[in-house]
Amino acid sequence: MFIKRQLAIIVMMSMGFLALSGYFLNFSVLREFTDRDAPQWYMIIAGFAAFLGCLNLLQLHIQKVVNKQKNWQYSIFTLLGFIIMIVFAFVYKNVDTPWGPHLKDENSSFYWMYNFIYLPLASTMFALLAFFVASASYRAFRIRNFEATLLLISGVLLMLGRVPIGAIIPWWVVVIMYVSFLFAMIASKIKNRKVFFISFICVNLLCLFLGFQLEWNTSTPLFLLIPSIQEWIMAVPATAGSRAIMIGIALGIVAQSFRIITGRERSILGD
Amino acid sequence: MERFFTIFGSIDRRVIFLLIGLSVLIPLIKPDWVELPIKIDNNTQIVYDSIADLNEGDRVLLSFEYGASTKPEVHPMAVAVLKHLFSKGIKVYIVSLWPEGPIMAKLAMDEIIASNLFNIEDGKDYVMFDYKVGGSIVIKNIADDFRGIYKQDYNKIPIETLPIMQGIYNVQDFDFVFDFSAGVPGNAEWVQYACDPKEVPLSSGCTSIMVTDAIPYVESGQLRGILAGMPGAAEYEKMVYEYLSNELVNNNKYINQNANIDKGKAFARMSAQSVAHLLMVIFIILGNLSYYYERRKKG
Repeated sequence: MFIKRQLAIIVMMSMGFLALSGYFLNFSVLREFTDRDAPQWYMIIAGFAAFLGCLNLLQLHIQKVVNKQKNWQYSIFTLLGFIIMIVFAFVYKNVDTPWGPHLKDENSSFYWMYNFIYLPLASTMFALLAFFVASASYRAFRIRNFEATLLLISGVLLMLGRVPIGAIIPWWVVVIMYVSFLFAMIASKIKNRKVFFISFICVNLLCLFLGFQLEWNTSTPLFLLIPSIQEWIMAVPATAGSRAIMIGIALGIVAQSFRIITGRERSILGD
Repeated sequence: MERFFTIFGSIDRRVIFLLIGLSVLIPLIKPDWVELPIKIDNNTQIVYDSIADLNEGDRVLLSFEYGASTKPEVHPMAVAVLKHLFSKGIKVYIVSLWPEGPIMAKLAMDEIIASNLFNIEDGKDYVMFDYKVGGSIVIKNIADDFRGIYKQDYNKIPIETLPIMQGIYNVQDFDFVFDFSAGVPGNAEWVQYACDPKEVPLSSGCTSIMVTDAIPYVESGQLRGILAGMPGAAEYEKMVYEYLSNELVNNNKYINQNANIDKGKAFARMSAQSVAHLLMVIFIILGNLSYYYERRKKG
């Protein structure tokens, strides 16, 4: 019990304080420890963790198959894949290259399995995202409220702005898009449908007339170019949002680290 | 019209899958049918200019942090960056922080060697290192003590015997760092643990989904531009293709005169992505029209 609980907490707290103090105390031995020794220790422990992860994976899926838990059939494929790759990595290599470097030898069975089985399968899994994103965006991107409309507008502009087709969309299409979005926002305020559509067409015609008068077809302003709008969305609102999230995460890490170092957070011990 | 939109609202998702499949397949099989001009993004231009500013003999550290699933998106930019670097006579050092990284790096280098564009030699013009477990801690180690973690190269040759390793002790001995990233550890860790504290210029190429997380570092100047997903790769390929074609005419000593320069894979894939994106936008518009009519019907 002492080894599992108290000793683990003592090691955790002392290492936490030691690693942290290296950044605040001007003591060369301590600094040397935090800069060189501690990272090396971490790498060794991480190596063992990878080994433990493999054991855990095996244990979990064997149990699932033995107890015939839900979807146990898939575990057979996981175990088969795992065992086959282990065999080709540690038992059978099919080349004269020494053990270890054989993993990178194009003629080895392991490399063949990676290149012609795993690589296409992993790429296929990732490519499937395109189909699901298309189906999901068709169903989820709806003008339900103000926030959803903002998401839809920025989503559409980013989708078009990031690909070459966005650059060939003419300015007048963007003008119609702006007017359409504006009318989509105020649609609920105008009860008379006739008034709504007539004003929609009039505003569009007015904007297009203004555009031709200002010669936007020869020198298009940046706010009418989809790639430029996309760049602005990424540089300003997206950056602001990302920074806010990053600051939040950083504060969370500080709080969580403090809880771990002071021994208050024990979930990492399996509690 | 109203009936059409209402029916469209309940369209089977398999029909959407089929249309998306066709929109991707047709431009891939027949690229000539959909040829679109590629506009260079500002961030891609910054990356290109940063590498173009490097001098002959400069040392660049490349970090491979992607795997099989993200290969179609990140790999073309890795190949294009390598071509750009070798054409300038820059020494390349490759590390991998993902288990699949060394294989990706080898595939990229194999492609470069097979192209017969450059007369490069392993251990003299470039060096590759194996995967090291530890993620961000490996980056910290590279920043402080490169030789502490890398004792031998990819071919198990001790680094003391490699001419390219002379004078390499920590990240500050590199003139530039470039990170090919598809997750964690990735460009954020390179900024936080190595390049920002040690003031070494860093650029990155990453998957489209990572761009939003990386953009704050680009805007603050901690990342010198970014190659954002497949479009970023295609833009960079285009710029490198034009540069190499010019250099070939100018008798660049690092480029073999009898070699063929290809445009790259991302360049060809952009038309497919364009059509797929356009189709998605059309779906979204039709879906909203259907939603509007449905709501009106319900009152």
